[in-house]
Amino acid sequence: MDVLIALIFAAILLTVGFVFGSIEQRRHYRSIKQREVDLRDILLFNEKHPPPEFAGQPFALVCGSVVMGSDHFRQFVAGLKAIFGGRLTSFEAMLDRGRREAILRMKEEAGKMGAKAVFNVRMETSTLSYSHEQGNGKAGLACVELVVYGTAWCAPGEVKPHGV
Amino acid sequence: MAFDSDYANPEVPHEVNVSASSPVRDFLRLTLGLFLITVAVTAGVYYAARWWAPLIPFHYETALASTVIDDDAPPSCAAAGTQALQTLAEGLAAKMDLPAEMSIRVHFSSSKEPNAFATLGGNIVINKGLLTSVHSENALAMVMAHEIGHIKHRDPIVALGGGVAVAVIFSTVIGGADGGALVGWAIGFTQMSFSREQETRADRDALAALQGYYGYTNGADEFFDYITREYPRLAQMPAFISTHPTPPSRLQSIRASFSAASPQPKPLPPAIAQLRTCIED
Repeated sequence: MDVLIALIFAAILLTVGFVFGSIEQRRHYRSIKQREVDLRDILLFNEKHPPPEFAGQPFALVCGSVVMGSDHFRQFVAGLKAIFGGRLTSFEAMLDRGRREAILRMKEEAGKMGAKAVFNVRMETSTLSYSHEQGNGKAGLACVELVVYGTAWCAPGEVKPHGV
Repeated sequence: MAFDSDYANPEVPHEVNVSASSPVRDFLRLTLGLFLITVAVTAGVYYAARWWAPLIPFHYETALASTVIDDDAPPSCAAAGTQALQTLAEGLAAKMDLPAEMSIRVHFSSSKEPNAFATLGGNIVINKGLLTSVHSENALAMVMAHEIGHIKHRDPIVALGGGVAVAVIFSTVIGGADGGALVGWAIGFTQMSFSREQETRADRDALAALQGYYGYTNGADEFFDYITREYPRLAQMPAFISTHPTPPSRLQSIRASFSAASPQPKPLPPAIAQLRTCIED
């Protein structure tokens, strides 16, 4: 009986995780794609040095960061997959959304200062996880922080926003 | 300014970073795979344990049994009767070629269920319900010799081995079950899960023992005849569901061993018959 209750409870958690995780993922991707189109005029480069034309233009460090967590269902599937090894495809969408969201946040910051390009773009990922239960095979929360940063430059001849 | 024409960020297909595979399909594939692996491992360990269990020396089995079997002295009204049961069991065992280190101990239980069972360490439990449903010593001896047959072939330890194997795997997969409950569950296995081959073999040995002890087997069918009459549902169960051979086919094979001219079955000895009225204090 106890086992049955535990199974039903686990099934409910998995279903809730899958349904809400999928809805959230679709909604987030719609928003990401729209904003990517809106911010396309801000160019990104991983080149350290801006071209000489930018000499004398205002520049500043811009940064975008996001913390992404997986839903219970996708985390459970990844846990199963980890037994056999291989690509943890159920985490791919989470990381992809995180990277793109962090880039968009950085671009939004660059846009506020009127920049048209961000140079020396760097990306860092760190895991934020804690493990609960004492070594009982249960993984901690699947959770990552993605940070994107770079140097935003205003383009020559652009109207500079006030105060920058 | 030449900036806009020299540099551009093309629209890149971001979808390359996300696999198209559905997590639900992964989930179903992985859980099904894990389930099949668990079943295969359980079956493998179960049969390995059953194969290996008879290699455990009998004195280890006796030591294990002494930790779980209630060894209190029988109630005062059952002392003489239990002794008479023990004497009958030893007489039968003498005709059954038991291995040298194997000994049989009979216990009396005041349970009304018409049953008897063999368990670890050569222990046999005879229920009061069995004694009230038979009239002859021969019928009782048949049931007793059947249980001694199980012990001779190490059937209880085989069942225990399988039970422990399954219990250990289940507790590993499900988690949480404590050791005591596991052992109890595994011991439960030893009392109910003999295979049909084991039952048929025990019947065959019992008939041979009766032939050796009394010189005839007539009267051995009384208890099975009673079960067929009193529990018709049990008798009608298809043979592949019930582990005991179904009473009609059992009756046939028992009666096939009867000889035409043989004495009437012996009545129950008074000491044993007196157990029917014994109420445990």
